[in-house]
Amino acid sequence: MSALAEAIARSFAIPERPPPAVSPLRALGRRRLGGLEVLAQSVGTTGCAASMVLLPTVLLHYGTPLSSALTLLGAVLMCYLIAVCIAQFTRRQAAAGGLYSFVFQGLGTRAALTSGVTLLVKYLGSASATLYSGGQALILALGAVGVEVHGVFGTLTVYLAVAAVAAAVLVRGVRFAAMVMLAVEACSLLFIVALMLFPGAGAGPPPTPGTAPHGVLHIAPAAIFALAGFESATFFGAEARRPLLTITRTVLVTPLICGGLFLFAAWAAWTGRSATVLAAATQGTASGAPGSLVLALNIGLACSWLASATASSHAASRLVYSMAVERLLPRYLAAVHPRFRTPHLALVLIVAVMAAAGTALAVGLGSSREQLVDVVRAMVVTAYVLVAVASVRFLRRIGEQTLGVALAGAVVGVAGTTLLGGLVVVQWLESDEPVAVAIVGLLAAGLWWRFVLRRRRPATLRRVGVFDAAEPVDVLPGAGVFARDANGALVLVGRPRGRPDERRVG
Amino acid sequence: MAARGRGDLRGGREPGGHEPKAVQKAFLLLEAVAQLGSGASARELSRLSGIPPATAYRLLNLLVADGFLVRTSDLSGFALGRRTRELAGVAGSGEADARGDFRPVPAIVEELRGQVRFGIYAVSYTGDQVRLVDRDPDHELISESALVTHLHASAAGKLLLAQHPELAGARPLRPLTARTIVEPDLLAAELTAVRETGVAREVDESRLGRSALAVPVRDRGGGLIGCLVAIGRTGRIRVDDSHLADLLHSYAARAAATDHHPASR
Repeated sequence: MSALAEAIARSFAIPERPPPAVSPLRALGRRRLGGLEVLAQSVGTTGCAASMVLLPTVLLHYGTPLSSALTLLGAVLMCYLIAVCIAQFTRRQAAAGGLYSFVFQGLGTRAALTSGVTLLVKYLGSASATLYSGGQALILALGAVGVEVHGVFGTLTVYLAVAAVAAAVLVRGVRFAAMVMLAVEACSLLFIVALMLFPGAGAGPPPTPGTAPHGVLHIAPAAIFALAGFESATFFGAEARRPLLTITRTVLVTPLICGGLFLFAAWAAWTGRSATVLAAATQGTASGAPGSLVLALNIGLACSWLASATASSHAASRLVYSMAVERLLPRYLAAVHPRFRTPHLALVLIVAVMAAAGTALAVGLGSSREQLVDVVRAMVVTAYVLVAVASVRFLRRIGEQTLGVALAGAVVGVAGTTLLGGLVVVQWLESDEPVAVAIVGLLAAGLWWRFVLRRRRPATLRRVGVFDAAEPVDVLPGAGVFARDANGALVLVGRPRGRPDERRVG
Repeated sequence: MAARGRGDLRGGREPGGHEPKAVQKAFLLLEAVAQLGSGASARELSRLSGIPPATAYRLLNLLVADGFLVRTSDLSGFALGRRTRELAGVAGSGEADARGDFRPVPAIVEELRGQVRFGIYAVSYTGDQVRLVDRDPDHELISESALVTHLHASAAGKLLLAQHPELAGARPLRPLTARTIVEPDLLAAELTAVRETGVAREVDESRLGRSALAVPVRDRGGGLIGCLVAIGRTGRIRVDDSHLADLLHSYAARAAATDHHPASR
């Protein structure tokens, strides 16, 4: 009899009295999201329909058809390498903290808290900026159908209504939220692609290549940041069905899908097909585009941006929930709605912050949008660099390193650090010191947070890195050993070490 | 992996054994985990099984994703997952393919019927097939098709789901009555209770006014081959009746011992 057959036979002989080892993420609605819904979360976060309109204006200004195509391909490759690094984690654990939980597995609490701060700022910042843009497009679209929005009060009403809808959708349930985002994002993609394929006013002449210097230096970051957000599915590991497969697939495929759409948009721009759409996007009806086209475009853009804002706050809520479970943040943020199984208090908080920041941009601080976006970009690059380095360290720790991942990690690490340094230096040289200071300050915030925790509540740091760990119901009875970890929780451990509190399953 | 792996392991189109290489390797890895015990690392498993590291890591991740293996809490070690039980027939007797329906000796079931006032049914599980193999002539009929399509609603179905949770499929669970358990988490808790107690129960879940109690029938290797179900009107049959459960258990053991089934002989 083989050892396997013996283990299986033995498992039936053991009466089951499983020890109460429970995944720390049990409270969330587990195993609800299917593959398509997980994909909707990631594609929704990138807001790729809106990028299909905005990215070509950068391409036309700075590039040639060839340089656009090559730079876009390079950006997709770069994001794919980041995705390969992230996939090393998504294949091995399902977490609600996304990259933050992953960075902990490879680099420990210091890097994890740094990435936690950067991710929180990234998702909140993106959500606010896209809420602002989406709200503006919505107000333009409302104006075109005769509903004029005037003054601070009108603007406030629109933004608060949008935020309330977003909060309601997200609290209602993870699956419902994903379906809504899928529908909205699919509609906006259809709108934009149709407008580019069948321009009402006919195609314009092929545009002349841009003459601005250092074109690639402008196109490459724009393309990479248009793809950023593809990793947002990683925050739903605890809630996806077969998470180790679906989340991994989503992370690897989203940059390719969005990259393909961007290449299509670049083709449409360089052949002159989307000339009318692009002019309408930048100048509205003043470009001579028909009013109906401008309206359709604004509806498409509003849908894409608002879906992106919703998806970003969705991801941020799971990060906050994860940190509250670890008690880094107040416990009430880990509360889960008894019926909808969503972290409703974390969601309401996140949407409230997003609404406040988005509305502030809309009623007067609109000029700060660029600065906010610059900070967000630095944050996302930092998170990617940390997760790339963490993937290499993590694989070495568990003894599963391969050459390919080490190479991907090295490329992302070097390129990302260079890009981050460039961002800070450029901000400084362009005498936008506040942005440079904010970036450096936020990077230091995580370290400072850890310093404070270590002095005041060192026990908290031992809880960092919760993920959907194996429960007795997942383990063949008799084949695993559960023991108490440093926090006193029962977890599946390696070989028996003969401690008195160890119990065999069953 | 799941569908293909299971098809290949169980379907066995060529009994001579030209399984795809990946399945062979997956088996080697499972065997290596069983030999090394809980906490074996990927590198140790690769070395013991003789499978190149990169391939071994890839297969191990797939086996974890499908529940055949689990990772320890520090993610560096592996232990056998509950789903390895599905391989019981393959790994144990190798007779899973030849296995026919579980058929209790009619006299034993009749004897049991003589002792209780409830309807007694015998159900056979072959792979993922559910069949009523002995119907009680004196009591209301239960419909085989409803049993097969809505496993979550009946005691016999829940007994099978407790062993093979993957049979629940990806679709949302359909309520047959207001008391059918359709919430995935509640169903998971219910199935855990079934595994712990060895008894599955239903109260008004497949039809209002009907309750049932089911106990497993297992072959000598421990594989689930069928069940005995007692069905009655809600209120008349008490699903927490431990006497009834013990009685069913003792007849289930006798039914298994005298089964005509090749794997249990």
